[in-house]
Amino acid sequence: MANIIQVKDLKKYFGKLHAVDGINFNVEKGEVFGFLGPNGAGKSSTIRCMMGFNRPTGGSVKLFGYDMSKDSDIAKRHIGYLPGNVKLYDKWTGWDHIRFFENVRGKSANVDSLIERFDFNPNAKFRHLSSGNKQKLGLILALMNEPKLLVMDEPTVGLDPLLQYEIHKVLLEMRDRGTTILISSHNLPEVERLCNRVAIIKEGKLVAVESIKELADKKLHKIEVHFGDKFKPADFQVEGVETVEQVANGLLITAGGNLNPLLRTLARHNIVDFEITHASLEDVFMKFYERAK
Amino acid sequence: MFAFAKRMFRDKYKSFIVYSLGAVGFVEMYIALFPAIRQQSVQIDQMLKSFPPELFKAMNMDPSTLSFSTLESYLSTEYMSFLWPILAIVFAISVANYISANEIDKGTIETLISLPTSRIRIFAERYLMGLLLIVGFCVISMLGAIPFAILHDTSFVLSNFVTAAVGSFLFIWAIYSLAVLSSVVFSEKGKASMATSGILILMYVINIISSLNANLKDIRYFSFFNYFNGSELLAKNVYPDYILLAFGGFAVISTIIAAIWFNQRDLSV
Repeated sequence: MANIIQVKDLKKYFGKLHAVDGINFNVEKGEVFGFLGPNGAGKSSTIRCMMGFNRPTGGSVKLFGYDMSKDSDIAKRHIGYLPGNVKLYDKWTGWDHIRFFENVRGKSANVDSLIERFDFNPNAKFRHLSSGNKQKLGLILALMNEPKLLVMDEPTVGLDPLLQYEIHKVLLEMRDRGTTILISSHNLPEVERLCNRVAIIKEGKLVAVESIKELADKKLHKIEVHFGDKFKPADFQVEGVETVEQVANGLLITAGGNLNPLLRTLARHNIVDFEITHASLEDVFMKFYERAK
Repeated sequence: MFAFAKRMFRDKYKSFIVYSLGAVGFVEMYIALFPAIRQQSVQIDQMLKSFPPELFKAMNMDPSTLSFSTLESYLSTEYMSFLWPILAIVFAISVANYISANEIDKGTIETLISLPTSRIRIFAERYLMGLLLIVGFCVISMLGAIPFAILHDTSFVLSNFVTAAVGSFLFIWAIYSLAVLSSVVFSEKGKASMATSGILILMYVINIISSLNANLKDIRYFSFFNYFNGSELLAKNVYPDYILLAFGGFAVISTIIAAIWFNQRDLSV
C-alpha cells in the first residue's frame, strides 16, 4: 500500500535542545496513526516540520511523495490541518474564514452540512467564540475540502466530553471513507479508540511504533485474588508476573503475556474471590516509558 | 486569485483611510492658516534667517528654502519636514508588521501556511498590497493639498506636488522595506516595530551629527534622511537622481532578503 507520510531521519534542533532527534516512520493510505507522548516529547515539533511550518535541521518529510521543504504547497492541496489550540483572526467571523479558505482552496461542497452538524454559528466574530466553538470552526476549516490526509495536533485538548465524542465520531466516519489521519495526543483512550497504529515518542526519539493490536496483546492484566487458606506472596513470582502486592487476605498481581503458569499456581489454593481486568493503554504506555529510561 | 492580497486590503483599508484622511486634515489646517501667515511672511522669513543654519540642518531642513512666501515652501517646512514623515513611517511599519510579525505573534501564521500556497506567494501578495496602500497614502497625502489650495484660493504649482509625491513615496518605500525585513526576522510585533524605529532614530542622529561635524560628514550616506529633503522636492521641485538609486536600491535589496528569510525561517514558534 502507498505511503502517504514518509518521515526519514527527521531532526529538529533549537540550539542545544534536540526537539526531534532522528525519527523514522511511514503512514499508509487509509491508516489512522496516533502520535503519543507527553508534553515536550517532540510531537508538535514533528508535526510542524511535517506540515512545512518549520524547517527541519536534518532528514526529510514526504507527504503524498512531495518533499515538504520544497513542494509543500502541492501536498497541502490534499491536507486538512487542525491544531489543538486553534488560533484564527479575532476580527473575522466564521464566514470570513470559510470564504478566505474557499478563495485559496476552492469552493467547498460540504461546508453547510458541517456547520449544521456542529451546530456552529458562522456569523459570530472569532474573538466572541468559546474555546469549543473555536475548535469547531477549526474542524470545519480542516474538513471542508474533504482532505485525503488529516493532520491533527491534540485536537480535543480542553474540550468537553460531548464535543470530544462528536469529533471522534467525525474522525471514525472519515476513517471509514479511507481518509488517512495522523493524530497527536496524550489522551490514550482517544488513541485506543481511533487509531490503527501508534508511534510513541520520548525526548525527540521514537521508542516504539506498534499497531494497536500489538499493544493490546502486550497489555497487562490486573488480578485481585482473595484466599481461604494460607499463602506466600513469593510463590506467585512465576513467568509473566510483573508485580505482587499483598492486600487483606489476598494479593494484587499485575501480569502480562502467558497467564497459564500464574493460573496453575493460583489453582493450588482455596480461592474465595477472584477478579481479572485489562490494564489500560496508559499502563502499557508507561511501561514503554520506563523501559526507555 | 490574489486571496492574500485581497484579504490584506480588507484588513488594512480602515487604517489606510484613517492615516490618509489624518494627513489631508493637517494639510487643510495648514492651508487654511496660510493666507494669514503669508501676510506676515516678510517678518517670519527675517526671524527664521536670524536662527543659526545648523539648527535647521539638525531638523533636516534646508535653510535656503525657509520661506513662508509660497504655499510649497510653507508646506515643505510645516508639513513635510516633521508631521508627514512621522505619519508615513508609523503607517509603513503597521502595514509591514501585518505581513509576518503580527501573524507569528498571534499564532495565526499556522492557519495561513497550512493552505496550499507557497510562502513566497503569500509574501509577494502581501508585500505588493502593502506597497499599493503606501502609494495611495503618498498620493492622497501630497496631492490632497490641491483641492484645499483651490478652495482657499491659494496659488500653487502642481508639478512641485507631483515631484514631492514621487520623492516621498521612494523614501517611504525604503522604510517600508526595512520594516518588512524586521517583520520577517522577528517573531513579535513589538520587537519588529522597535527594531525599525531604532534604526530610523539612529539614522536621524547620524544625519544630525554629520551636518554638525565636518569631520564626520561622510557618515551621512548611512542615513535615509540624507537622501530625503522635503524642501528640495516640494519647494524647489528638484528630484535628485540619486534618491531613486538610494531608496529604490535599498528597497529592492532588503525586499529580496526579506523574501528569502520568510521562505527559510521557522514560522511556528
